[in-house]
Amino acid sequence: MKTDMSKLRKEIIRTAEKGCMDFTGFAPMDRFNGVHRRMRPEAHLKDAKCVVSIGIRYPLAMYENAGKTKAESYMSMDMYENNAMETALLQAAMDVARTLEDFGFNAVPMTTSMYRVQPYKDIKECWTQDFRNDIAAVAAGHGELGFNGVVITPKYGTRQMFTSIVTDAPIEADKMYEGPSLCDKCMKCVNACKMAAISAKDFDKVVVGDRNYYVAKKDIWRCMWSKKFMLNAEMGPKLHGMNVTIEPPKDEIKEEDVQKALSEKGRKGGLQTWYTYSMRECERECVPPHLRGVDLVKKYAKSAV
Amino acid sequence: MWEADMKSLTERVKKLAKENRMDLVGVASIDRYAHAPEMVHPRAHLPEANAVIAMAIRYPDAMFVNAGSGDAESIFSIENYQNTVIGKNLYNAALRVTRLLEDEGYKTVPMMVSGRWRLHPYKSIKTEWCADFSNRHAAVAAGLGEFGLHALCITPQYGMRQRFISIVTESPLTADPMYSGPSLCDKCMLCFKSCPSRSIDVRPENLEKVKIGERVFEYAKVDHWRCGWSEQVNNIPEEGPMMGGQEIGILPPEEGKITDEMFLSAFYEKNGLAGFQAGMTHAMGNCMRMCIPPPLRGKQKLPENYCKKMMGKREFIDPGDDKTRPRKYKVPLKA
Repeated sequence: MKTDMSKLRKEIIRTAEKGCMDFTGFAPMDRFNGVHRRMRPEAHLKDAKCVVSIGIRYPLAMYENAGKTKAESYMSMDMYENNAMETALLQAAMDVARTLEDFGFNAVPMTTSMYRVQPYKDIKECWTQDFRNDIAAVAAGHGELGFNGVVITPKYGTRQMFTSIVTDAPIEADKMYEGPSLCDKCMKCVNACKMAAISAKDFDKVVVGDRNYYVAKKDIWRCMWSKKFMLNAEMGPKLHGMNVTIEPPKDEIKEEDVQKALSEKGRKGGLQTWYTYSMRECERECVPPHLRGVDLVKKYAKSAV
Repeated sequence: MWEADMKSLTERVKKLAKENRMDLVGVASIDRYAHAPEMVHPRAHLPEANAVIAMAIRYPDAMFVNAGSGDAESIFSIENYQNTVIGKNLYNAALRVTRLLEDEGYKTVPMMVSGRWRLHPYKSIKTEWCADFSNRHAAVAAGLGEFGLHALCITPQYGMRQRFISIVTESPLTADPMYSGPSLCDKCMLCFKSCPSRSIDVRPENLEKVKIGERVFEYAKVDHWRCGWSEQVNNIPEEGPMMGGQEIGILPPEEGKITDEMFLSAFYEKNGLAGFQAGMTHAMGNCMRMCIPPPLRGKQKLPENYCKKMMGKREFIDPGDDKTRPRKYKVPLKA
């Protein structure tokens, strides 16, 4: 019996919404032509025909206030981002995959936070994931890539997280985003990064479907120096009482530099180094032109609609 | 919003929390925090805050009571369920309640369950191992229970057998009355006597006083470095790790203060001596296990005090002459 694809599409959207997802979109394979072969949907599922991209918004006041109010704390941000929201995403992806299987299709849910730290075979870059959730989100019509390389949506700007499900179900695709540009290259992302990891001048062309995005070149080791290894106290750790900053080498950062720095941080920072967080100000400072100065909670309140 | 609408929104919040496995839900009005320290006040997280929602999920009771007892002699389930399922259920419910309130147009910040602290005094915060918000104080403020001598929140429904989370919101939800039933702590001292790291200081001159709403509570001063010595890094096998086969223990110093360096050294030394097993174990707060509030005695089963039983069988490796230093020992496990 032929599957009712329209019914399946609706069922996926309903499943994702039940799992707290604010975004559900569908992207066809040809929009991934610009992606490395090992990170394409077909690299995970040979006969893939569609990628389902789902996303969840951050609690908006939590995101805005983290580290800026009298509490001077990132504890909620840390635990919701790395625990509650990631779990919600993975759970929703699992449920969408199960729905697809129940309709007789194969589905592979993607990760949110795993990396290959070093180059791997024909992957030349460091810190790569095995799938591009950012490109999937753009391909599924949720928004655009900003100059900072982060997905910007017209609804929440950069205040959401995404994951994806690769499937062989030939589900009708959504249109890509066609509204006004969500990045006016205001350069706040570049200026907000205390690691100077984002280049203001050099950029890469990222192709998604028939659109080209120009994304700043990022020194990923310099970014991870703060974001993942929390070696710059000014980006968050200081507010939890861990006031140790280790300066990275001026030129290229190598893995052994990080290991050495972590050891020094441990010696100087003590036990507090176990309990801290680093904020990505390049994302928080990024507000698309039409949302600047807008109170998102009030804007999207049911009573305001 | 009219009062009736706010009552209805409060009911929707509670219904949603209960649909997401929360067993207890209460609301505290912001005025009950009049005496809270500035940096852990709800308005320190959300300047527009008007209410705090406190929620709790109970432990499976027989799992809580039986952990470590019986022939299984295992606390694997309680570790796994506490750290994974119970915590994730709390976060899931808090996230959903937050989203509901945001959809209604109210700024809302969910708080964490546990696991992050400022270990040392920070600006106006004088205490050590301080989270950025206290879920137990929120639970008391929201009427879910009252403090025991051990400084933890005891509820009339489950005693100590639940975990809490909180949500700070701009929404002026309808507050619940504070708990006013029979006292939930009669200072039986079992918590004090059961703590293997001697974390609980019950000397009258050291008791802490807090005012929440119109009520004043008094509870013991807890040395969180000592508590964390066992609870966070499993240095005392009798509080759970021996159930997984960890025979090596390190006692905190009998006298003086635990330092960062001492804490970390003991942790790494214990891991070195105990091997892989040290990474796959769990300590369950004996103060919590042994506490049954008066109204629940005879209704809740008292767990076996395996901790106390095994403490008598320590074989000390260090002589213990210097009481300001940690002391290594072994608890031999015999078939």
